[in-house]
Amino acid sequence: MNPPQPRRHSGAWLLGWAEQHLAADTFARTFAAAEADLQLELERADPPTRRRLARAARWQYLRILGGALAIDRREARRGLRWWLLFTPLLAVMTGLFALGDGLAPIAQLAFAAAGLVAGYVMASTPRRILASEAPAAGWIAIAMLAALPLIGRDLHGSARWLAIGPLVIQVSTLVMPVLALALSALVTRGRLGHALALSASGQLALAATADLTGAVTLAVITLAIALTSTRRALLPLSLTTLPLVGIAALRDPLLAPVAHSEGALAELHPLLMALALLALCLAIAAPLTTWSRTTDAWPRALAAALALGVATPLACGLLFPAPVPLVGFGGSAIVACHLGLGALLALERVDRPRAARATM
Amino acid sequence: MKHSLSAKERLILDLLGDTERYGLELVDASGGALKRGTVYVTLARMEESGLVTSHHEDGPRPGGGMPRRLYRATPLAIELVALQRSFTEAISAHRQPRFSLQPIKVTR
Repeated sequence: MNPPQPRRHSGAWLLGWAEQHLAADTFARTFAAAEADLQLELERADPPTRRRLARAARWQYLRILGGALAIDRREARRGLRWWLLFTPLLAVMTGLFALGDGLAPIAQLAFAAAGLVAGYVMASTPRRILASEAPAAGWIAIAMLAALPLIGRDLHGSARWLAIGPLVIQVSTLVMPVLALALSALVTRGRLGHALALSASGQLALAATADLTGAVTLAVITLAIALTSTRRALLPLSLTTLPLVGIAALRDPLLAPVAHSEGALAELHPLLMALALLALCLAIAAPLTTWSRTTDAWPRALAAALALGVATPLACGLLFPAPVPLVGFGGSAIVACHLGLGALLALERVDRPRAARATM
Repeated sequence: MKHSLSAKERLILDLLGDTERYGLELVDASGGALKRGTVYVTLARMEESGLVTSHHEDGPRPGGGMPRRLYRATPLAIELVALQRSFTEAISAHRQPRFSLQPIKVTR
């Protein structure tokens, strides 16, 4: 005997969507419970009442959806290491002493606040969404880099900055965690061809903007991801990445620091400089704590990429006249750091299984 | 675990008592205070907090179809409600005037 077909109502499409996107237990306790009661009501009701109930189901299920999503997201945020998002702030605070009075320290604090919000939003994103959208986000980042020679602000032959109203953003710094997320997703899933194309395109775009620091950072990140996940990716990625860094090196005009605060470390009191270096070491080491928490290849690769994403520009800033991330003036590095840490938290989280079609 | 009850949760627990009920039964019994679109989410949150438990009804439904979910208050919730009730009564009793004004009978 065939099971009875459920009676149709206006909320059926919402039911299907919720089953695909909510965790199984949340779906069972909310939508499944409501649907079972509604179906019984529809069976027992007279035709006019049945039509009224069927029409009203859409609004009922919309209200349920709001509450169910809130339950899912609260569950998703439970147990995360939120302290990780605050680790870059110590370096930012020590740098404020070098910026003096005026708007610069306020701007840094505003960027820190924006970074925390961005990190929180990223950390709340379900892992499956990051997995499906990370490669596309990587290509969007490449497109932004590629557009810089046309729309970026040129300074002594280098067009690395994008002016959006009063804000000036260093695009390569901002998109670096996105590229790290995309490359780590592709390499750990064995999609080496796609990763090669993404990495090479990024290097070409950075060479076009004469950004040697960005090119070196991307190369180091790419190789770190290859080393920590699948070793067979190491050779092809090295062969495509390193020559392209050479192109950026030839083109980079080796800009002198454009603001006094970009020599921030040198301008600090020795004690404060030691504290700043210590804080930067904390910002580098913090993502690596993921290694002790999970054996999953993707977050481990991303953790290595994020640590080297801060360490590489720091090394460049110590060796050459280049800004030091987080300590020197510039909000892009602050926001980028928080974005990367937020993505790492999202990957560490174990998403609860979604409702199976079989429950219906 | 949560230890304070909202008005909706208190109403649901009062309606449940020590019986089991379906979600729609609670909506009907509340006389409009509980809405169909929110009662299931509230019950799900209460289940997370340990105030109610739920299970599917036993046995197949006569006409087939999905099993319905039954809800019951937990001993913790029953105790919380009793504590809240006695606290409310104690506060009300404390607010009573200590003496009442009686008309004075004057005799001559």
